[in-house]
Amino acid sequence: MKRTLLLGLLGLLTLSCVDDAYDLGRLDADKIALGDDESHFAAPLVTVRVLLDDIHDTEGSLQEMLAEADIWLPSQLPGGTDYVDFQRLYADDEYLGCLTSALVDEMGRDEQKLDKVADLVWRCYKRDFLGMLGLPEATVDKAAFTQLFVTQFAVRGELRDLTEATARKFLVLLQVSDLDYEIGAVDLGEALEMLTENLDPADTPDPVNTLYIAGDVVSTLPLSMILSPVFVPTGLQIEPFAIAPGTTTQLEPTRIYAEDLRALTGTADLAIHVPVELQRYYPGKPLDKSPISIRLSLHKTGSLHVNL
Amino acid sequence: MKRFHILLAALLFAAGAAAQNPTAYFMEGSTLRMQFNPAFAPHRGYVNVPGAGGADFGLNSSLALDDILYPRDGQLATLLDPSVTTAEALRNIHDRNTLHAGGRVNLLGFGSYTVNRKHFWSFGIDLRVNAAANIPGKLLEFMKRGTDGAIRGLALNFDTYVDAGFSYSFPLLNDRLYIGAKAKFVMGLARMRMAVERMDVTLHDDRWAVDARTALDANIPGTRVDYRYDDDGRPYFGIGDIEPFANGFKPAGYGFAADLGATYDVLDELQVSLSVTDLGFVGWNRESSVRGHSETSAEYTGIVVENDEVSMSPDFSFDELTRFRPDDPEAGVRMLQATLNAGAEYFVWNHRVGFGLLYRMQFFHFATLHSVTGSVNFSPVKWFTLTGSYTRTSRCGGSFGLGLNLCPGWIHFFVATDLATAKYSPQYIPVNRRTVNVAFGLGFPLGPRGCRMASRNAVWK
Repeated sequence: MKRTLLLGLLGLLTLSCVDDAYDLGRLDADKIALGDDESHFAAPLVTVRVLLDDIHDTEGSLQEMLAEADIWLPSQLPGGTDYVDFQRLYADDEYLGCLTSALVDEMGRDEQKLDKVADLVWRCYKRDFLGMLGLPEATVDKAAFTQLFVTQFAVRGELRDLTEATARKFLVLLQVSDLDYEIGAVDLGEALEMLTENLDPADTPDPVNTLYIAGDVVSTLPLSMILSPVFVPTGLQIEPFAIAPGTTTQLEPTRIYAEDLRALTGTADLAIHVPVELQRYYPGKPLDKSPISIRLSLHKTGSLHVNL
Repeated sequence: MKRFHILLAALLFAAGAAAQNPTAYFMEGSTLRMQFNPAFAPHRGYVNVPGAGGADFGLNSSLALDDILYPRDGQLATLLDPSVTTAEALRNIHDRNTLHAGGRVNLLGFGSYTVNRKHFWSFGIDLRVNAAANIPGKLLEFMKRGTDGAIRGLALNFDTYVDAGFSYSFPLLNDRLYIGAKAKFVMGLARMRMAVERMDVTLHDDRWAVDARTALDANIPGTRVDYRYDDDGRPYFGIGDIEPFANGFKPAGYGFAADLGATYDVLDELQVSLSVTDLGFVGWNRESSVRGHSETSAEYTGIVVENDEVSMSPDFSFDELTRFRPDDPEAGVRMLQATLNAGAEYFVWNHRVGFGLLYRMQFFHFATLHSVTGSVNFSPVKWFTLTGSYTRTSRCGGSFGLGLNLCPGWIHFFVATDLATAKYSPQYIPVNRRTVNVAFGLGFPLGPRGCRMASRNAVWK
């Protein structure tokens, strides 16, 4: 009796339901995923703070350039707009002519504008005007020059034409140089493998695990422009984006792949080259010392895999 | 990987074990009953087999094995595996996920009726081990969803001690009421509490940040800490730098505890019982104290290019998380984990069959668990009791248990477990059960048979 009961109980203990699916010998605990298919991780990558002095053309700084443009541009812009369209300046001679005609007209009726132009011509273009005004180059002083310019502007058509031509020459060449910034090395450490391990190939329809660069640009410049940043030497190009004054612009995502990220992190001399294409200028606005901030972030959709 | 397996093995070992198996509460005649209520007494005096006289292990967890492990393509994956969806992994995760494991091993035990065969005394030395963990749901949610997290309360608690207790029970009210008390001298062996007091994780596109603080508070006998020093000359230590017993073994603390209980025969067929066990404390000494904290506040904001200069936020390093900065050692008093038991048993068929109902309240470190056990107890002959039970525990679900007590004239053996009806892994780990209890004991009857349960004795005669 005792033995039977004992055996029965032990049998119950040892033979009750064993689930081989939960054999701990098959435990694979090396794979850990942070997040799932619905996850979206975003990490800061690079922030470029563009200083006013960083932006210039071959002649001088943007500040100097815009200060001169404010003088060459009429106070009332053609068509009642509050901006100058750079693309039309470059390509539309009629538009350029409207601007310079309006300038000359304004100089004829506004002494202050005439004085500003006279001062500008004295500072930057007097050699071109000395002959026209019949002044000797060596002895002339500013007061004599500007006085003569102001008095003769109303009566001499050639002087008005030369002034308009000088304005055209300046305005049509308004442009800024590309921006270049050295970054150095980007060290993502072990995160590099986490970010790249499970990326979907480029031809995957409706990809889940993707990597892309996005970000935003804050600009207080009175300019709208198109920027097209390129990482060098990798050649990875961020989708070109337009920025407008006083706004924050969200960048279109630029999808990248494992080899792109490895290239970005694999060089010690990473740099950003930013071609700038001016679109519009809104005259008369103040300039900040640090007018543009470009913030790029790295985004990963889907889970992050950690291999222990 | 190896560390993970060790940790897992430790948890699973704990899972194979719990203190005070409720199935045994109504197992009349077993020496184990006295652990629940000192007013209970076995049929006869006894001498336990040293080390095997009474072992009782158990686990109460709010998570079962199949809540954390998932079969995948012939392998077994953890809930953090990429193949386990978030919905799947979090389906049974609560705000607070607790695990309480306990074990008791009787090292030495003997007891006997007095001359009147109604008073019973016993003496026992038990080794006690308790482990508890609290895993906040937000931690697992953070890991599975990959979102920001403000994680609080991740903690691990462990203590072990030896208690030596003398128990005495006696009748009142014409033998209807039995009062029992057990006074226990407690010797603290070791304890540890490690708690992540805060872990704030920010994952934004302009800033990744971790702000965390972990505190370690332990009493380890004869311990020596091999401090290391950082670049600034500040000392720190890791868990592996703590060497227990390096200066020999000396108890880490002393304390006192009591078990108090009573049984009352309302009717000849109805007995009610009430007890409080492990009501006491351990005063842990300063000499064995090891305390420290780790604190880190790491932030990564990417590379900033400005004015032809490149600045990079500090390395996103977690080294500080595992570096415990030493705090001053402290003596401290810690309460033991007390349990309240309230039971009632109704007998039929001349006391051959009893129906029992037990309510228990266990004051654990991270939660107070309430459980109700219903049992059917069958004693066709005096030396044989078979018990079947069902226990429902708050946060932990239900389980069926079986118990057997054999005490013929020459040996005393009992076993009780709820594993018999469980689905379990080949390693005998229950798959879908959140409570596990195993108790067994072996001893030898000694001395005359008691005169308690007179009506039952009359039947069996």
